[in-house]
Amino acid sequence: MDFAYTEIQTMLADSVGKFINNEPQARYALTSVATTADRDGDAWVLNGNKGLVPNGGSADLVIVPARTSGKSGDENGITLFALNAHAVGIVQVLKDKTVEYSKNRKQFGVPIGSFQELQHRMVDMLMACEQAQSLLMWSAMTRAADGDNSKRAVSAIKYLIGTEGKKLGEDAIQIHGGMGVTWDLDVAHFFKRLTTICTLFGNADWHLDKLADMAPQT
Amino acid sequence: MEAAGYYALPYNAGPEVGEGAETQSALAYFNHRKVTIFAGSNEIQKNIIAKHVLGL
Repeated sequence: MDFAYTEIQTMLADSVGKFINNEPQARYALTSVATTADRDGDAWVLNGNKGLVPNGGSADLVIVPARTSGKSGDENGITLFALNAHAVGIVQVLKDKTVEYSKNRKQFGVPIGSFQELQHRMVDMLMACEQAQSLLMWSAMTRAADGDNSKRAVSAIKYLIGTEGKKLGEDAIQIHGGMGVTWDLDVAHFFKRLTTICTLFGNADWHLDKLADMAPQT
Repeated sequence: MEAAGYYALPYNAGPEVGEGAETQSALAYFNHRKVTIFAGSNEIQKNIIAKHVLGL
């Protein structure tokens, strides 16, 4: 298992969406590959279990990673390439749309944005957006120059999106009220995409764990 | 959804995708956004409790 392998895997899973290396025991570990490939004359024999393939129903090609040597869990340089920029864009759109909606939607004769309870919640949404954007900028700045901080930044955003971002999405729907759960507004669609991103390539807990492992030694 | 991981992602999938309730977790999660909104949102319920229970 080498660097190129994980690069190809994340690239394909991200852009083509017809490939992923999930095995039932793997959770989000890219290198947890127990499936084996053994030579049998001129043929290869694959043995193992594969899990979910996102968008597999529309695939015209399925790539099945398997080991020809080593054992499950062996790894040599993991690159995580999550959908962080996409997620940061989504939370900002959700925040903007919610603020706009609260200025127009009237209840008890006034815009609901005039209620302090909702104002505080939307300020929290703004703070989450600013934090996410700052981490994204840090991630971009460290990506080329600093391998360790680059990995930390990627996991830090993924954790923030999986916690604060998820709450932001739930609040966006709550403040939109019943309209927020309809397919008529794109808020519901953005929220579904955000929820999917929270799971892809490791959820918040997974990346908090990775951050702890990557903490600078004192 | 957190426990199910990737198996939570297919929408309303059946046993051909995963075992048990895990493949229904996304459906349940999205569907239950509604319960804090309908029949008087959480915010309205809190207003009522503040007024009639706490006497504020």
